[in-house]
Amino acid sequence: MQKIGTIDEFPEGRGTKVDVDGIEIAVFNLDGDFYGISNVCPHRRLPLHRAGEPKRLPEDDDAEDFDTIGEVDAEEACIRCPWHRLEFDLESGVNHQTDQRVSTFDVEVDGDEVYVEI
Amino acid sequence: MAQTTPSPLHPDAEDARIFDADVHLNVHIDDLVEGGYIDDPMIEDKLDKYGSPPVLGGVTGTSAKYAKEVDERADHILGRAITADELDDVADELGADEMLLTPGNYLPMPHGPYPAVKRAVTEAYNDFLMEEAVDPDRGIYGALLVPDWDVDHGLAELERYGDEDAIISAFNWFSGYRPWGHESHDPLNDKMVELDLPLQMHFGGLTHHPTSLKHDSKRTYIEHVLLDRDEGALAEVLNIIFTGLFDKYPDLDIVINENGTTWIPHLAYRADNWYQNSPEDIRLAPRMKEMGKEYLDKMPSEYIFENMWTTTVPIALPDDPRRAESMLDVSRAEDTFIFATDWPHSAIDGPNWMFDNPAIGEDLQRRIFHENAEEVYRFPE
Ligand code: FES
Repeated sequence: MQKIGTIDEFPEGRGTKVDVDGIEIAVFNLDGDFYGISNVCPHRRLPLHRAGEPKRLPEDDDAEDFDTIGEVDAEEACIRCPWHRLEFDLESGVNHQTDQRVSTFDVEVDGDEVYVEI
Repeated sequence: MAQTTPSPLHPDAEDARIFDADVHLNVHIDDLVEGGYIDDPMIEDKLDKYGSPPVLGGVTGTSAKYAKEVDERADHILGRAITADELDDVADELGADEMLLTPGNYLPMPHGPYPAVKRAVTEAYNDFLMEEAVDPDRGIYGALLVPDWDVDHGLAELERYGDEDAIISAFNWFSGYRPWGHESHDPLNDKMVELDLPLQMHFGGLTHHPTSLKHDSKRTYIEHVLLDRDEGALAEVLNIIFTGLFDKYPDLDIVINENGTTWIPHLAYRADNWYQNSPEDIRLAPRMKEMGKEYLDKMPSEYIFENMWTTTVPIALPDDPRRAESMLDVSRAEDTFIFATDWPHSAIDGPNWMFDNPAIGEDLQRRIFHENAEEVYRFPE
């Protein structure tokens, strides 16, 4: 297990990018449950960690329902890629729409510290 | 070790000089009305109540919304930025050093009625672009909306803003009002050549019309998005070449935007073949006849490789690097590709595909990322 940071470095409901020995991992903190998934989406090799990031909108915009890019579903433990919206299961790394799978990584919390299994 | 600062970028993108030729300025009609950009009270009232100008053909039946989970506003898949400060932040996210702002999808006006409304919205868009969005000192440039449905008005818009440093291209839609090779556009071509501005063309207008090729037999969005846009773009390219536009305006450059790149080999070599098969065909095209020319000065493919350019979005290279290399080679990517993201739309391409691909060496990377753009767009000295 390698330490990747402390809990406060992983905001809830969205992804955080970490680099472990040159492997880029998107770590998701979903209500205190942590998931690690390869940060490279197989579609266009764009990063998954931005799923859940607030959408950039001018102040007055009223698009309330979709106020993040790439949704994060804590209950189902799945995310949508923020770029073209393929869906990935965070436990298995599987995208059911195209039957592709990306690597997943076990992430564990010990006290305040967060570790990933490489 | 955790990085909370969002970055979509391949690490090498930081050092690469990147010009993004297609960032959409998604100005809404509300922004124009509330910002005081519409002068006429009667038009302002209609736009305020009903939003975008009415469009014949419209975009109904072709939305990405049935094809994937997207916002009501599929245009905003990654957000919206309309002021220079907001756009500067977007440039940082995309790793772009410079960008070209193109109109969003709220102004598909070529086929709408009410010329006075279209005129007011065109002027308002260009005013907003100049006043709120562009900033050449920060590398934020604009493509000036030049209506082809009203050539005199297009000329007036080029007169108003065409020589500003912040404007580096004119803009219109393919499958717009008339194909660009139509001789009625020549006053605009004269003016663009005088101003040294290229024309950037993006799909819009009747690419979405039910009368487009086999529209009623299509069953999916993918058929539409792949075929209708190709149909629009390819029709423009052929029309431009075979009406002798580049024979009359050899210095004019035209950028085909957001139609990918694979149309280049498809058209270039077939057009050469058909031209050689039927060389007498074009002498009756009005511009050729007026110029008294019987044949093109060059082979059709030479115009594609010398006067035409394509933005890379959405790129679709084969996964196998050897095949990707062949594709880049037959497309003459080093002479024709200009990098673009299409931010913030659902076809977005970040710059990452340009890295770690053995088919794309450093020279080609520079050509696509900025050198080709420098040849085409009128950057300030
Ligand atoms: S890059 Fe993830 S869906 Fe396209």
